[in-house]
Amino acid sequence: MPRPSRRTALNASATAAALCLVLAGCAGPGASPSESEGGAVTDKNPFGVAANTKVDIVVFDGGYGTEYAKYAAGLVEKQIGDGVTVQITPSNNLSQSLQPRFVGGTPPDSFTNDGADAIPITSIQDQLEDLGEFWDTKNYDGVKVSDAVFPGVKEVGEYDDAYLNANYVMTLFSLWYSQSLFEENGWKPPTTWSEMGDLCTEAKAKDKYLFTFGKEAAVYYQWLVLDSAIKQGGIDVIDDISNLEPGAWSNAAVKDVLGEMEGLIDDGCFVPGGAGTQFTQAQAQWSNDQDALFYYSGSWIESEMKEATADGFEMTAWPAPLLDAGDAALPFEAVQAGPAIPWAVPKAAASTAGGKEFLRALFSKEAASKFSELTLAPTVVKDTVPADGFGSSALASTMGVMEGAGDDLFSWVSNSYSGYYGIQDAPYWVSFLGGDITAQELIDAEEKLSAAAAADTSKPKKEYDYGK
Amino acid sequence: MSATTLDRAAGRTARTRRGDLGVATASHALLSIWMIIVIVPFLWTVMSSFKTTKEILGSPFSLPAELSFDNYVKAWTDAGIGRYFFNTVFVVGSSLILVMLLGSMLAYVLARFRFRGNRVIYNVMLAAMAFPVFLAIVPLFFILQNMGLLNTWPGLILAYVAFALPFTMFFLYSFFKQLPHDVYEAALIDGAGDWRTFFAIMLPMATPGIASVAILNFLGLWNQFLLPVVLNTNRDNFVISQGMATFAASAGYSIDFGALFAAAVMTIIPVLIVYVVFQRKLQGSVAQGTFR
Amino acid sequence: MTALLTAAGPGERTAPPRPRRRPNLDRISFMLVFLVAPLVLFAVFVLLPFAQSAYYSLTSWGGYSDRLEWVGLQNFTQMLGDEVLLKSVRNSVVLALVVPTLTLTVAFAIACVVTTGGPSIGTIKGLRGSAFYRVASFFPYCVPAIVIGIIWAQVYDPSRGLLNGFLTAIGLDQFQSFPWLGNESTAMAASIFVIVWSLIGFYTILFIAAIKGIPAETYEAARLDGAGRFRIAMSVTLPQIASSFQTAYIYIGLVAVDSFVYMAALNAQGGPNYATLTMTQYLYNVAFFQGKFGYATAIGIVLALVTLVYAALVFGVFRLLRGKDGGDHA
Repeated sequence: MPRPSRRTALNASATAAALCLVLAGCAGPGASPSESEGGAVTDKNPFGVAANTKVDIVVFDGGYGTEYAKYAAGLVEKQIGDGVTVQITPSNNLSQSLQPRFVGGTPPDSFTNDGADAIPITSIQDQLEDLGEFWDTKNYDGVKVSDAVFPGVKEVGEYDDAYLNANYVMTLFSLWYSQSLFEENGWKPPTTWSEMGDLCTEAKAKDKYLFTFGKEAAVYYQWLVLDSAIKQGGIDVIDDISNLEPGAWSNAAVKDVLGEMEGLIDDGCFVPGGAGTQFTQAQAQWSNDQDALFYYSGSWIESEMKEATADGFEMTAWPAPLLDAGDAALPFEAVQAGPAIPWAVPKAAASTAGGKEFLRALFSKEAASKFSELTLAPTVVKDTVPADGFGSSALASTMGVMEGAGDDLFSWVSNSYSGYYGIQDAPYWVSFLGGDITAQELIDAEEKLSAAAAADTSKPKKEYDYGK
Repeated sequence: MSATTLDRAAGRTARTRRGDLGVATASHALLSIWMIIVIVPFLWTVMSSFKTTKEILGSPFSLPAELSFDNYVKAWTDAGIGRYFFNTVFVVGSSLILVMLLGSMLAYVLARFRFRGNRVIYNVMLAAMAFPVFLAIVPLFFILQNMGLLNTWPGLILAYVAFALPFTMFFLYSFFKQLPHDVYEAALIDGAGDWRTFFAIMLPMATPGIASVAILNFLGLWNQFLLPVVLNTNRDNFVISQGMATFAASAGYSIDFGALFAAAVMTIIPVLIVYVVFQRKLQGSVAQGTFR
Repeated sequence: MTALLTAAGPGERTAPPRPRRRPNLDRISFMLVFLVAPLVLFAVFVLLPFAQSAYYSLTSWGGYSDRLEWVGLQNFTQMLGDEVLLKSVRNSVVLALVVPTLTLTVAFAIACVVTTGGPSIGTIKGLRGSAFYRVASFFPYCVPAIVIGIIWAQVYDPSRGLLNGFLTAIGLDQFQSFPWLGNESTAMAASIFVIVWSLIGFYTILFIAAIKGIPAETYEAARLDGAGRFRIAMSVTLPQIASSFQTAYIYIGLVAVDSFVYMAALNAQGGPNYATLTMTQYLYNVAFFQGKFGYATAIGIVLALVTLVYAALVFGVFRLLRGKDGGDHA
């Protein structure tokens, strides 16, 4: 039985202590720890990473996994030594896990702002380091980083004259199919939408479908529609949409392509039930069950589906179809390819030097080759993919299709307006592909979202000019 | 329920017996359907947890080719389900004890002592239950950070306790209100102080109620999602709810559905076992919570 | 149990006022621990954050920086034109109305059958062998909500899920690839089914305990009056446990209006045409994926008001109903 007197004293002091803590805890946001003391800047350590720094890296754990980051982490530790360690933390919900850290003033030293849950760039634009210095530094191969990568990569991460993102993976966005399946059935991949319709009929005869989709990845088909519209109507199509011009979605090319897609949906060319199917399971309907002939995705698809791909599946890339080849702004071979997977370094990071050093390791041949070997996808670093694509048909065809496009390569998804403004149009695409809303209703919904983003004065606006 | 009155309207007996049989049959049939709906999803989950990814992507009814525990191993190590489970047991257990203690103390004082502001406190706590936890999480993040309790066990537990307090207080209030006054008087006469009265007399009398509310609280704390997501961001310290959510997302990306099912099974089995073992006692204490 | 769940108001006097005692150290320490400590915890961890959030709702805070710009009531007026928000309000209201009603109706029915559904002659007892139903019904309670959502999302999968597999196996081929969660007309119903499914078992147990507290004499009397099972359930059992019913109703209502974890697992993006988006989901998405914490907080405040109105309505309706029947004997 507790004796009142002892307990009394104990409790009185405990309560007093609690009150003290409470009063101390009433402050709000704004308290941020100061950056750690920088180390000496040397040739080996151009950013001056301090000794014994624990570099904190957050990596998006998606189709590419995080093995490559761990490899690069090892390279950094070897390069700098001095007790510096690099910790890789995987995450697949960037906003939720990093928002508290940003507000609390303790963001990671570098992170990949990727995935469906990425942080809208407008929200953190003024909290990211300008990586201009990084691009001008020599990588582990002794080459300036901006020279070590393909042309145009550096500019993709530019916002208001500051280089905020360093995009890492050269991603091809296109249709994908199995060459072996097509050969078996005597099918030819189509170049126009009406040929698509014919192919759909042939596929149905064999109890197959043209396309499949999953609810989290319905926007992939928005990319397909826009790619096709851009090829047909010119790069202005995407410029207008990205600049939130009213009526941009009612552009003739966009409307017509959407109409074609609506026709295919109505004809039952999509595997049914997509609106209720998780996206990797839907993708498996294409790669494993081969119920669908085509799937639109970025070139991560091979790595993502490697556990669920049928034997003998020869994954091959294919450009988006045109409406009318004679009247198109770009040739059929034009494809969308650009650097994706943006790496950023927050200004308030404990060690921005550590973050940049990690990027320096990534953007060097050894780490880049390792990435391609692990994920069968090319990085932006030149000369890191062998001709045979490490034995991957998808990788080889990716390189082939990109070369085939030559100067007609265009890019927009990697730094899309919807990621910038945080536009939530995915549910409308799910409804559209599921046949619940019409193309016109979809256009109206997109117009409304763009108008709302344009009217939001609390966020900065970006001038898009993809043709540059 | 143990009265033994007999129905004396003899003329109705035969018809009644047939009617009884009809009702019994119908009841059993409907309840059996209900049982199937309850149990089958679990059985299916267990069966699927032994399948490989390709088998799962095949037919829902196919039996696994072999009963390998690979998925379980993967879920345990890669997903860290084991660690999350222990974390949750620790956090929920500590929170439950603390909230039951503080909640019953608070309910006792509010119910049996008259003082200014008593009613205000009660109503404010009630109203607070209507506010979504989301509103509190960002400010709470800063408060904990400034107190140095962010990402610590005590910080998380205190948050859990604070949010379960109104509910606990509310339920136990009416319970304490209805304890008989004469026992209290007797204790006073015996010279027992406030502390002793509570712990030695009032609390034991309220045990059945405490048991019921504890069970209710357990579910709420076990399912608490937003608080740990924002206040408990160290992956090693995840609790089950956030751990499973993260794993579901990453399993989706890595197409490891077998492991996902295995993880689900691992979160269910321990609690299920505890329930089956203790369910008699549960029935007893819950029934005991009845007052005449 | 019935007394436990009675929503007794404060201030009801149960004892004559005691003679005043001079506050001594014992009384002070007692009050400090029993009253002050929990209240301080509550104030710091719950009230203070809510108050601060009220402040955020009047700003246009993005959520990631410490830039806080005052915008007054702009967030609230913005809501009126926000179609997605209005849809989420509709969804939350539907959930608040349907989930408690369905859950408690089924739970009550099962509880009645188990406790009093047995033979109408002889002792009042339940259906024979119903102990199994009672025990097994509780299973879903042992599973965290997120896991329930994950499991059912798989069950509902159009091509590989258990449900469609079963339906096509018994010959209903139109369900071959039916997207239960992806079809606008079925998404909400399918989600409601999952939530109700997970809650029924527990409330069944609760009602069973409550019913067992009703004296057998009451039933004997009703039987002698010639009342059948259904009549007994509605006119005898139900009024007797009315206060448990009311409290359960409000509690399930709170869970239903939230439903965040269930909906996030079943349809993270809000369902086809936002058919299943709840207010809690919407404000979470607005905060994290659109970077608009100020606006999200304002939505949260509106949600709190909606919840309070709901609770008040339930109180009012029950008071009306109980007033007619003369109250229960709890």
